[in-house]
Amino acid sequence: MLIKKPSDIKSSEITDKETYLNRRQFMAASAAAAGALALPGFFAALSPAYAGEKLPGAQKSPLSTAEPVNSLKDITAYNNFYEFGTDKYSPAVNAKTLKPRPWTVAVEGEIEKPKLYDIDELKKLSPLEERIYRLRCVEGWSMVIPWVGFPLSALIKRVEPTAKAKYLEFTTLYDPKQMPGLRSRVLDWPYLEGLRIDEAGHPLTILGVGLYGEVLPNQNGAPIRLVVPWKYGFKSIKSIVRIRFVEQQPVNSWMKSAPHEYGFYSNVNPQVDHPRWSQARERRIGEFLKRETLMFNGYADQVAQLYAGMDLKKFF
Amino acid sequence: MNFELKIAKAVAFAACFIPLGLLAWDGYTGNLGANPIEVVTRSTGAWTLIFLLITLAVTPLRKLSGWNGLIKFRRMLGLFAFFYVCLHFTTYIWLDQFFDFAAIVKDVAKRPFITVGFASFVLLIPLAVTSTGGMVRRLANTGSNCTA
Repeated sequence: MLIKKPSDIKSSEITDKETYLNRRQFMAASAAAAGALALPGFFAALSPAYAGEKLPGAQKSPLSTAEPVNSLKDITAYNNFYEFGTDKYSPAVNAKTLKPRPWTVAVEGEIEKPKLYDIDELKKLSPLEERIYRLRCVEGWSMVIPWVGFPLSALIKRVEPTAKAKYLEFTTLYDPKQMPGLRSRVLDWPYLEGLRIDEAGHPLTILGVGLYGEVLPNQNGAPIRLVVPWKYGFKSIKSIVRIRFVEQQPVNSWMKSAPHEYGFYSNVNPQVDHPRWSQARERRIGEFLKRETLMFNGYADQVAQLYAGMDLKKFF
Repeated sequence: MNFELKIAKAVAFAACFIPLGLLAWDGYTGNLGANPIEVVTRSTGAWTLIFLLITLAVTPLRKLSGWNGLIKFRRMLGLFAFFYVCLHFTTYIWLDQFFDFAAIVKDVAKRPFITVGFASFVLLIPLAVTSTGGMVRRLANTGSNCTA
């Protein structure tokens, strides 16, 4: 065997670092593209998110839950992120094409201080905190996730909303070059979500920039996302590029696609079933038996007062 | 039954267990993903459908290829479809719903694909029950289609 001398190997023959680091994802993507029907070894091919940059110094918070946290492997390999595929295993494989840097978030609308924030600027807006929250998907599964982020209220305070600002509207990145799932018309892109301004300013609501002490993996909504733990997971919009303060209630993407199934408020509520399935119980990922779903995902003490007097069957 | 046929049937029998074996292996090695019950339910359901289609394909394949020996495998393939649907049903009743029959009844009514699946399961039962040699003999010449 002739061992080539370094000068014999053209630089064009060298596998580029991105592809090499993601070779398992590349192979799994091919399998996914071929419509792998839970074929053996499929999941073994999905390695969890490659180690990202650390986010040191995140302060612990009394708002965190003491429940056992789901593994990094589960959190980063089971995601609903339709811009990268409509099943829960595709985003971990396909999201490598997302470029979380450089990144800006346009904060605009009914505010005194509109600004185009650079992501690094946003991360320094307020001391980073570790928030361990439950996340309950509308589909009926849930996890406990150790987010790193800061309260959205810090941003709201900074930009000074006017009296006209009643709601916040959030928009996800729309870039077909980075997001292969955009070819599917399953939703009206770009992905849009909204909160009432008091919900947005609530101490529990955070802008998430990391998890498990590191920056967000792409499939979890890098580089910045919303986390509203008392609402169904689809409200916790990922990869935010715009936050607009508005007067009218925004039409969030899932409500637009099926208004009789998905509402604006989408508070976790075991007493209000989805038209096609019960919301009374959930599967906590990692647990064998299903568990009872809690009102407001167990955050009733902190958020019930926001909805006092509201008919939650009507405003689901 | 001649020797070659016995071997062929034994090989086919073993082969039909491969999907279950691979699923079990993945379960044992922890490679069923974050929601293993969902994957097992989907897999056993998919393989039910695959075996059903293979079984239904036997007759047209036999007519096209002229190989009458194929018919000797049809009962086994059909019973494997029933085997996988039993696994699928058990997974749903036990692992997914944990015998919460009130929730199951509600689910069957509420989720159209479960209604259809449940109806298909019910329809497969008489086919499985009438597949034994004794039943075939009793139903022969009765004009019933329930013979393999």
